[in-house]
Order: sequence, then structure tokens, then C-alpha cells
Amino acid sequence: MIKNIWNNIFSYKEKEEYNFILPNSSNNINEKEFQKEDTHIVSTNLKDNLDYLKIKYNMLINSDIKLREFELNIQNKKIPVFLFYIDGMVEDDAINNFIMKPLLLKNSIKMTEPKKNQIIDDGKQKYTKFNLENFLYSSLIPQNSVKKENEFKEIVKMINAGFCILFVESLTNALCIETKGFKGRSIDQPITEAVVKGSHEGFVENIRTNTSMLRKIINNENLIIEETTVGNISKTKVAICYMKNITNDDLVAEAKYRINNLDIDYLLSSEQLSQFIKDSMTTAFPQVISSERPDKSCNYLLLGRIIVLVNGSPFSIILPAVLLDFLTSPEDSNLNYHYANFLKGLRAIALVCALLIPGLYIAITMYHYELIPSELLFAIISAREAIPFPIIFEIIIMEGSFELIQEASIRVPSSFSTTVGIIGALILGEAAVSANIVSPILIIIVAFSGICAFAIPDNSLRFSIKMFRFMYIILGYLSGFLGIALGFFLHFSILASQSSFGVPYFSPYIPYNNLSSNEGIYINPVWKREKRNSFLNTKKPKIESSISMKWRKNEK
Amino acid sequence: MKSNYKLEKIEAISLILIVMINKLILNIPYFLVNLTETGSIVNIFYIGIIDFILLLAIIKLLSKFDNADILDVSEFLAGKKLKNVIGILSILLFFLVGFVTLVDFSNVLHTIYFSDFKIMYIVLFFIVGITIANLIGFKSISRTISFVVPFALISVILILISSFPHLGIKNVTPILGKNYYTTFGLGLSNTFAMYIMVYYYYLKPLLKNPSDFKKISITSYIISWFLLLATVISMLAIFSTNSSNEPINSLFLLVRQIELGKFIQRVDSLFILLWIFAILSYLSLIIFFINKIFKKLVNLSNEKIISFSTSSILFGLTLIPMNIAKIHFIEDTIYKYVIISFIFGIGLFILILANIKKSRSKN
Repeated sequence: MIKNIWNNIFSYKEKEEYNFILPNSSNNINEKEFQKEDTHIVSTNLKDNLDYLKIKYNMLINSDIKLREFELNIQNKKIPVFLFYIDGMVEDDAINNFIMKPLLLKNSIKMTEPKKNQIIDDGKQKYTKFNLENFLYSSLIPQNSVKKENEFKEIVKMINAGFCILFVESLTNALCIETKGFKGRSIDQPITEAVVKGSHEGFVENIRTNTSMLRKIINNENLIIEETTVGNISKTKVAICYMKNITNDDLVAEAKYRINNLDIDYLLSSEQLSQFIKDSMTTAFPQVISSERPDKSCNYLLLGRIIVLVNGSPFSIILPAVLLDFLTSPEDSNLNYHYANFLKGLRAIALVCALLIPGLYIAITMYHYELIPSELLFAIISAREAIPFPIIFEIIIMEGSFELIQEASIRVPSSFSTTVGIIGALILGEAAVSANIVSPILIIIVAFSGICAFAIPDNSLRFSIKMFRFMYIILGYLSGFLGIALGFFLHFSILASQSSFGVPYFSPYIPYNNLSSNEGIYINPVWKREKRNSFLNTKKPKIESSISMKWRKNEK
Repeated sequence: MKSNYKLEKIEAISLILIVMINKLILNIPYFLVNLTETGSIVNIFYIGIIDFILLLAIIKLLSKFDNADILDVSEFLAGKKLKNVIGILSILLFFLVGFVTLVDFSNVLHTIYFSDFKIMYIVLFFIVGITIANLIGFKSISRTISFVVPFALISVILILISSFPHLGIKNVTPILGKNYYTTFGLGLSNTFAMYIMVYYYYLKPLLKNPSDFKKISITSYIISWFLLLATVISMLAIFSTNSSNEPINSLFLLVRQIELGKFIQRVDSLFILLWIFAILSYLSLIIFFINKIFKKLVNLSNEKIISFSTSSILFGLTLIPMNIAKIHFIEDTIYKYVIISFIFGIGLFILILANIKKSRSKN
């Protein structure tokens, strides 16, 4: 016993570690094998069809694949059939009430109906032949959308899309019955584009709900919603929406060309798609607008742009886009043009300030201090006197911390986000100044540039502005206005060469077009927004007649 | 990717204006005033008319050659040999202009704002900028120019308006200058001030619609001339000719007169950001023209690929030790006469001969 205790304490035992190593890709599927098309067709032997589907869907291990086998009693014959669907993607009530019930309960009533019996004349005598497929299709399944299909390639697509498939012994076609019933989020307020005046409906994840929301706003048959699938595995539905009588045909063709020529395995969101179809791959600035508002999307649609919806994503893609679009808030069109212009101007100033203010501060305090009054300069110098770090370190620490707080408050649950904000404000504000890590004026600069960034309505543009801000800080530190001017020159040159679906990024100003009444940074009064953007070359340039308020004319 | 970008009307006008604005930022008005003194205003009208006549001649002479620049015309006149000679001369001219601009402005920046920096460091900043801009392409250069020109124009106009309270009529008299010979004889050399004329020789093939060439040329010429006149009047009226011998850039001297209350103590610092941007655009344009001419001479598929080499040569030239006095000597003598001989001599001569040849070949 003592020996055991001794051994337990002092003897060396090798630790048994659980050590899983992912093996090399020995079981890779051949790419060609993967891309091979399914050429199987529906067999008249029901068992063959069943076996094929069982293997195809790995029914032994797949838990949500449902199979319901039963028999139809038609003309005193028992005909074996089975239903095949994916649980969770179909509506159970629809299957029970509109497929199972009619097939199991009502078929005996219908079986004697003479219309369903086809008269066959073989030359010697006339006799009636019962057409089971037509009988099922026309009389037994009271569903609005039923398709006959004999290729498994198409059948599998439909099963994956939420159809319920009815296979019947001796028939060469399967009946694909639409019973889609995904559970999804109901229509809610848009989170990223909230407005005071305006619609409070936002897109949801279901593409059909989203297209119906567009239809609800634009009651016109010229609204075309073309559907395609993207992703070799995910087969994600993508809807390309445009106004047939307004949008430029070449623009539509280009959008369809880009979307239809994506060789990818899967597509999960509209943001992902926008990165696949954008013109320039190198720039960090957004090239298409992303919106979760149906009213904003419809506004652009009616102006001649294209809306792309992706199933599973509550954001639409609006294309093409120019820089000015990213400064436009969805509220602008609902506000009196005086306020709208004031706010838009403010946003433009905020954009420049968010980008340049920290860089300019560093440049002025290091190189161009003659710009500011002596009193202010002395105040800055005395505030920085006790700080042991160089100004670049100070500003990068503060800007970095600001971004960190922001990132953290997004990631933490909403109940903690206030706490994160308070901690951030206290520690990084009060404490950092008291500890002589940063100067008070720098807190003002960082806070001001942060607030300016929040005034930018588009998220993607805001991210890129925040990112480039660091570049200007470094350039300002290295060589003052010289560095900032160089950075701005290169930044501008890169953006100037950029275009979105053939539309230059700085349109309508660079290259300068004759500004129509509804473009440019100035928002005209609603009665003066007579034309669509000239850079879109729409089929119908005019939005409203030169005298839109006819009642005023009639009054005279 | 080939750079087949063609200029719209506004872009083409901006391209010419950026040249003039840069000349104003640098020392052209100073050289004019230095030579003709109080007679400068009359002299500007005088050289304006001469240059305008020349411009009309260039438009007329080029009209017979569809979409052609001076290189195409010289090839038509005497084959590839002449084209190569004119091309090389043009490249040398643009290098000289680029070198003078870069060194002059870097010296100004060094003297006024960045005395801690070595001039080479400042030059390097410009070289990096213009190389990258040329690698991005002509489309972005021309669009950047059309962005900066309105701001630069506004800044020039603001400076001129702000200098009105300081104007002294006494400074501009006698209006005809020292004597007729200085104002109209020696003053003839001031035609180089409209250096923009060089670009008209190369502009036509760059236009989206070459038929707009006449409109673009005349409009840009008139605006440029007006800017030059206004700057010269302001300079002359504010500083007496005796005190204007400080070889610092002209607009800078004017800006220093502006007072914006107590808050902004040195207004010139505000403008320097814009001027650096303008100089970068202008230098990028010069490098583009050098590349474009070189491409035409040796049949390159894409001019972008030589951007590194061209910028390196320009950088190499700036390594030649020069002080600001030497630069101004070059500007006042070599630069001036090289430009005059190119605009009035070689260019015009080739165009006239080519037109004679064309009309003979038709007959």
C-alpha cells in the first residue's frame, strides 16, 4: 500500500492527451465527379425511385428527410405511392389538408368520374382508359402550384426548395407540389437605417417576402423580378429587379451577366454577392448601395437602378452607385428640401472631418502651428507638457481604443453595451487624461471625428473612412500638410478611376454632365425633381412633367 | 489595359487651366513684373493678343489634320525622323518644365514650411505621388485635375478679391512702363507666360470630340489669360516694383497680405494644402505627356509601364545641386526662350509646312 502511494506521488506517468489531427485530404471528392450532372429519370417502378432518393439524401443518417408511404384506392385497385419532403421546409398543414386528406379520403368519390377516363379508339373497338396521372393532377390535389417532372435533377432542386414530391407506382412523372413553409422572421423595423419620418418596414430574410414588399410599393406590371440561382452547392436564390420601361437595357444585361457567371460553391448574403460583382477589386470604398429599406430600394428602382435581392439576406443591393448616394439618407426624400439640404451638407462636412480631422490636428500641432492663434497653441502645448508619449502614439492609442469600444459594444449582448460605453468613456476619457496618457484636447478631437463618422449614413463608407483616417494620421505625422495632400491626391486618384457598373464614381460632377434637376448634392424641391440621373441613361429621362402641380395652373 | 481615355470638354479645359494655375502659384507673374515693371498690365494685353493670334493659327493649321498632334503632323511632313526629333525635343521640354516646377516648389515649401526637411525628402513625396497617379492612369489624372481646378480657381479669385483693400493705384503708374522698348520690345519675351500654348499642340487626339478643339482652346485661353492679368494687376498694385524682387512664389506673396482676424494667423498655410494638390496634379500631367510622347515614338503598347523610369529620371534631375537663385535664373532665361522657340518656332513652322504640303498634295 505504501508502495502504491509512493508510486502515485513520485512515479512518472505519461499524460494521455486527446490529440486529434485532421488527416490530409485523402477522401477528397474529384472535382469532375462533383460537377457531374444527375441524368436519372423517374422510373415506373416505385421502389427504384424510393431507393434512389434514399441514397441521394442519405436517409439513414439524415434526420429531417421525411418519407410517407401509403396506398391509393382507385377503381378498387391499390396503388402504392410515397411522399418525399424535408421537414421544416414545408408547411405541415398544407401537406395534411391538401395532399394527404384528398388522396386518402376523397379518391374513392372521384374514381367513377367519366371525364377522367380517356376514350381510346384502337381501330377495332372503342374503350375507356383511366389516366391516373391526369386524375391526380386535375382532381385530387387541390393545390395551386403542382408541377409534373420526370428528371431527378429538377426533382431534387424542388425538394431542396421546400416542395413535397408525390411518387406513384407505374407513373413516369412525379408530382411536385408546392408546400413551402419556412419559419422566418416577420417584417420588422430596419435596424441600420431607422428614420423618423418614413416607412418602418425593413426587408427580411425570405426573398419572396422581400419581392412582395417591392410589389406592394410599386403597383406596376413593368416591375420585372427575374430569378436566378447562385452557388453550386447552396443554390441560393437571387432576384434581379428592375423597371422594364425605365432601366437601361445594357445595365440590366451587365448585372445579369455578372451574377450568372459566378462559379462559387455557396452564397450566403447580399454583401458577399456585392463583393463578387463589383467593378474594382482593390478599393475599400463601397461600389454598390446596401439597404434594408424597401421604400429606399423602390425609390432607386423608379430612378432607373437595379435592385438585387439574395435569399437569406435582409439587405438589398442597389446598383450602380456613386459617391453622393452614400451621403443620401432614406429620410431625405421625406423631408422638406430645406432640412434635407441642410442635413446633406452637414453629412458632407462630417465625411471630410471624419477622414481628415485627426490627421490635420497632428499636422498643425507638429508642422503648421502658425495656423492657430498663439493662445490656443500655448494651451495645447501646456496640456501636452506632462504627457510622456509622442503625439502619434497618443492619437493612435485613442483612435484605436475608440474603435475597440465601438466593436465591443456591437459584439456584447445589448444589456452589456451600455456598461461597455460607460467603462470606455470613464477609462479612456477621465482616467487617461488624469494619468497623463493623453491630452484633453485630443479627447475632443477623437470624439469629434468619431461623431462625424456616425453621421455618415452608409455603413460601408463609414468603415472605409475610419480605416483611412489612420493613414492620414500617419501621413500628417510624417510630413504635415505635404503628407496629407499627397494622401488625399492618391486617394482621390484611385477613387476617380473607379466606376460602378460603368458609372464613374464621382458622377455627375466628375466627369461633369449637364446636371439634371434631380442629381448632384443639392436636393431640389419635390416639384422640381423632373429628371432621372443623366449618367444612368434611362429609357425614360423625365420623372414628372415640367408643371407637376397642375392644380396651381388650373387655379389661374 | 490600354489607356484610351478621352477627355470631355470640361476635363480638357481643366487640363489647360491647371497648367496656368501652377504657373501662377510659381513665379511667372513675378518674372513678368520684374521685366516690364509698371508696364506689365499693358504688356499682358499685348502678349495676350499675340498669343491669341498664334492660338487661332494653331487651331486653323491643325484643323486640316483630323485627330492629329504635332508628332503626327511632323511625321506627315518629313517621316519618322522628324517625328522622332520633335518627340525628343518635346520630352526634353517637358522634363525641363517638370524639373523647374518640382525644384522650385520644393524649395518654396522647404523655405517657408518644412525647413527641418531635406529638399530631397520633399521631392521624393512628389515623385511617389506622380508615379502612382501615372500607374493608375490618365483617366484618374484628368478627373483629379477637374476636381482640383474649380477649388484652385476659387482660391485664386479669393486671394485676388482679398487683396483689393491693399491695392495702391500709384504702384501701377506709369501704366506704359519704363519705356516703349521695354514694354513692347523686350516685353515680347513675356509671351512665354502663356506657356499653355505648348499643350494645344498635343491636345487634339486626347479629346472625345475633336471638333470641340476650337471651343476648348479659346475658352481655356481666355480664362487663363484673365487669371494672369488679375494676378499681375494685384501683384503690381500691392507691391511696388522695387519691393517685388523677392523670389518667392507670386500667389504666396499675395496671400500673406490677407488677414482673417485673430484666429487664423497665417492664411497661406490654408492654401498650401490645395497648392500641393494642384502641383501634384500638374506634375502627373507632365509625366503623362512624356510617357505618351515616348509611347508614340517607340510604339509601346502601354505608357504606364514607363512611369517608373520617367519619374526616376525626373528625380535624378532634381538631384543636381541647385539653389533657388539658380532655379530662377533657369526659369528667367533658358526656360523662357526654350518655350518661346518651341511655341513660335518649331511648332508653328512644322504646322505651316505641313499645311503647304497637304494643299500641294491635294492639287
